Amino acid sequence: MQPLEPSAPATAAAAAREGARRPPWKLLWPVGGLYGVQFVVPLAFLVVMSFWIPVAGGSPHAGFTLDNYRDVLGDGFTLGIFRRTLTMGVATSLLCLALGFPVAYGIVRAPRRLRTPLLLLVLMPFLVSAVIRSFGWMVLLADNGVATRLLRSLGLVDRGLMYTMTGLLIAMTHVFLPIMILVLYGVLERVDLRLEEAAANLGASRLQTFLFVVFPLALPGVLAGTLLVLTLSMSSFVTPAMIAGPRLRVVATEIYDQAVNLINWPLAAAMAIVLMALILALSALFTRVLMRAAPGARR
Amino acid sequence: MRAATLGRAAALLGAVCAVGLAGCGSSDDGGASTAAGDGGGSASKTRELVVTSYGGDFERAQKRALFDRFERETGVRVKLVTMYSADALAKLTAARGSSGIDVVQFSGGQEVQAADDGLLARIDPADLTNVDDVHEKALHDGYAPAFAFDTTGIIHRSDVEPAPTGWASLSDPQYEGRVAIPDINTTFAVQTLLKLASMNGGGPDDVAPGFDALGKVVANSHSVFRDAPTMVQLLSNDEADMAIYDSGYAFLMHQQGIPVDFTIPEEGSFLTKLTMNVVEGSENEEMARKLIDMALDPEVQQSFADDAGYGPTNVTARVTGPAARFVASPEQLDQLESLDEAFVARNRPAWTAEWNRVIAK
Repeated sequence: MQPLEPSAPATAAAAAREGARRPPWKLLWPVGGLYGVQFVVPLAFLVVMSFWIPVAGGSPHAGFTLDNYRDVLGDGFTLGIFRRTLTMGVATSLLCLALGFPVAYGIVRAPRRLRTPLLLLVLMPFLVSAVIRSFGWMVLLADNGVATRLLRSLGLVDRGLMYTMTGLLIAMTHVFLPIMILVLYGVLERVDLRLEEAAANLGASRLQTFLFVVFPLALPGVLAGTLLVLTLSMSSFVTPAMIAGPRLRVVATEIYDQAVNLINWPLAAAMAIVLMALILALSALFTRVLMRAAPGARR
Repeated sequence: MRAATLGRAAALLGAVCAVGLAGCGSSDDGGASTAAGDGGGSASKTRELVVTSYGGDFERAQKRALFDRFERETGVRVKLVTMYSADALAKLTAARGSSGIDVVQFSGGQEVQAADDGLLARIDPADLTNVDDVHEKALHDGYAPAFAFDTTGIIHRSDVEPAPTGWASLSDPQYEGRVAIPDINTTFAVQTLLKLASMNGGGPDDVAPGFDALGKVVANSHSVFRDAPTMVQLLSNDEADMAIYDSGYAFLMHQQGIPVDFTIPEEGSFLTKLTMNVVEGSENEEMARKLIDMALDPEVQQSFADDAGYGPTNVTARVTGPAARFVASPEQLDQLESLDEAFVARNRPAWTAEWNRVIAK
């Protein structure tokens, strides 16, 4: 028996499909080249620098030492700073999720003519830099600031919220909320209204519809938005520097102090690399969960 | 198949090149090029001098007293780049020789570390016409002398009763929660630490008693501030009664209408030098030297002192206006300590680490 040979036209069609799936490398070279120069090279320099030898009262010497990583990973105080940064990041992203989901859902279900103005309202804080927004919070959270007086009248606080974790979380949530809302809006927009109507038709309450239809469908967006806010807040510098102050340090402010005030670039680089590794690990974890949780994923 | 392997090989080669490039460790990251860059360095060809500045009222006072006059008399434009002392030192260290800056200003003793690191150009005193009248405490052997003196002390609101008298007032329970302390990134915090050490049985070589005393001060404090504007806000908003800072800011706040007074602690205090230095590698060295010389001119010194509240270093200059109340008199100058900046720079990393642990909540 002769083996079945695919006909010539069929082979050509298969080859065309194969070609269509190959990435257009030539188109990627300009951006890739720029990316390489502006991101990859400095990052590589950072890795090299993290092994250099710091000099007290002078500039670092080229060399190789693991002391910087030992100082970061083996020092309880520094690890405490990392722990605080992680806590702050997780708290900020959860708060943004809790506050942002209703807003995003509200915008999606709003009358069509209101959507654009509402989105613009959400985007407006981006027109103002994080420095200005943080400065605004410095005024509001001061001992006799508006926010403090309001909370004091409710009996929730007695002193100002500046230089406290609570104050920091309030400011951080405000700064990153628009990002969460935009990501969630993007996902919720694609949730078919008819699915919700079908659920209602089958007797589900609004809460049940939300828990069993809307939220699971929005899960990829939830995870993407949470990861984005987590990453941004963990590496945030301006808001913690202005609101948390020198007594409540986070990794970004610590890196700045080491790099600029003490010219200890090796230690600053080591901290930056460890922070990056931590965030990459969290991203990998999130992506795994995302793969399993997306509706339609194979079990 | 082959294309994919080739792609992967190219990516790997690229990564190796990136590391190799970085590893060659050229610390020269080439900042902005010098504005008047035509390699001759001769004064007549200089069009523009790049000078770092602190911004705000300090810059305004410097422009009125010095830069405007310099531009008029030499025709060289002064281009100001806003940069605080620590950032300026970090930039010079990173850019080494190609920072694009001609004259760098320091207010926290960084000129000693910068000079030791080869970042500043040497100056022969004979090249400065005003050097003979400069106070001996302002001199920096081989380099530019300081152009102003800064006194460290307690800036306190005028409505505080009783007024604080010295370092001991910082941990006085009657001021609980109303004291603001500068963070270790400032020279004033280092001075506070050393003074607390010597007041409690220690000294520069034994700062442990200083950290113990610091713990008590922090427990008594409102907050620790990183920069002067935050301190100004705390005092003007009546969130704090007193802060450790300098005479210049006390004068500035007074001029702005904030009801403050300045007290030099009775246990003794410190002198900080405000310096202008020529950056090593600058192509406009001669013009830069002329600028520094002019900063030491008695008229310029007097005008700047009256405007900014920092003491003159030229002994023939006299402060006559409202600033006289804040600026240290020659007698007071003699009693003020100066820090050994090289010693401080060597110990700063260790002190910073301990300071952060002590102030951490």
